Amino acid sequence: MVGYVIADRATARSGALAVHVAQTVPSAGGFSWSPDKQRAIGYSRSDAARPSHVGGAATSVVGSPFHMAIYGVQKCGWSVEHPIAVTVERDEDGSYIVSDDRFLVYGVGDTQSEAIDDYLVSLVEYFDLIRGEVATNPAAETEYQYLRKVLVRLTDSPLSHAL
Amino acid sequence: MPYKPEDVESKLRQKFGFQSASGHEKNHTWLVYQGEGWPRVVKTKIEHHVRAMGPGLEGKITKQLRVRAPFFREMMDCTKGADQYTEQVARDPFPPWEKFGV
Repeated sequence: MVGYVIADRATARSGALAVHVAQTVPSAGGFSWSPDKQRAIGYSRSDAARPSHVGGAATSVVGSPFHMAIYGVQKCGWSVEHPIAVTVERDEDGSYIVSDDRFLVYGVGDTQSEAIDDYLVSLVEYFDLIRGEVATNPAAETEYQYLRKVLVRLTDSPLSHAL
Repeated sequence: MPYKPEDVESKLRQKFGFQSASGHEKNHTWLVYQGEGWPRVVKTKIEHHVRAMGPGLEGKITKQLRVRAPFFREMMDCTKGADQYTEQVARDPFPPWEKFGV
């Protein structure tokens, strides 16, 4: 997964972040500190050689639902340009569910990574639904404009060079 | 007893008037419905590759439908109908409609 995770300093203490990033994003390659040293920026293996300038906030309680943010270039062909806070939890059948409390979109998968990917695909589809809703319902306009800022197709994104 | 996704989808379509939004992934379907008096369209995603919905997945769909868990179960168990659902969401959407500041 080409994606990023940031944890605040409290979460990242004592090397716990490396464990967290590895558990949160199985393809995670490592992390570095932000310039103000208050946040740790995780990055994927495929992007490990390049210093990361994007990321997402994350806190974690291993074995319990935890919160993280999705931010940056995604392999679904879109860039998340503003962090989206999501919750990662496991259902009774062992599957992972990634969901947000703003758009009420969710993704499921056998692994966290699959669930995140499914979430992102679903969010893009949701964006498409909102685009259609705007044509007949002006009340959807603010959400549409918000999502336009959050989700950018990679060919239109200033981050497209990161591919 | 967990609900099967196909049963949930069937009930939402046939009993509550939801319609599918086309052009999306094969492993799930988006259903949409605009109730009278609602400011927005309700959109819910039904997963096809799940045999039975666990409490986590059921909770996500319940939220997307803007009702609480007991109401959702009554919808699925046929003790709440389309008119009651429309009235419930118009009167007390849960969670409330998000206000998006741009």
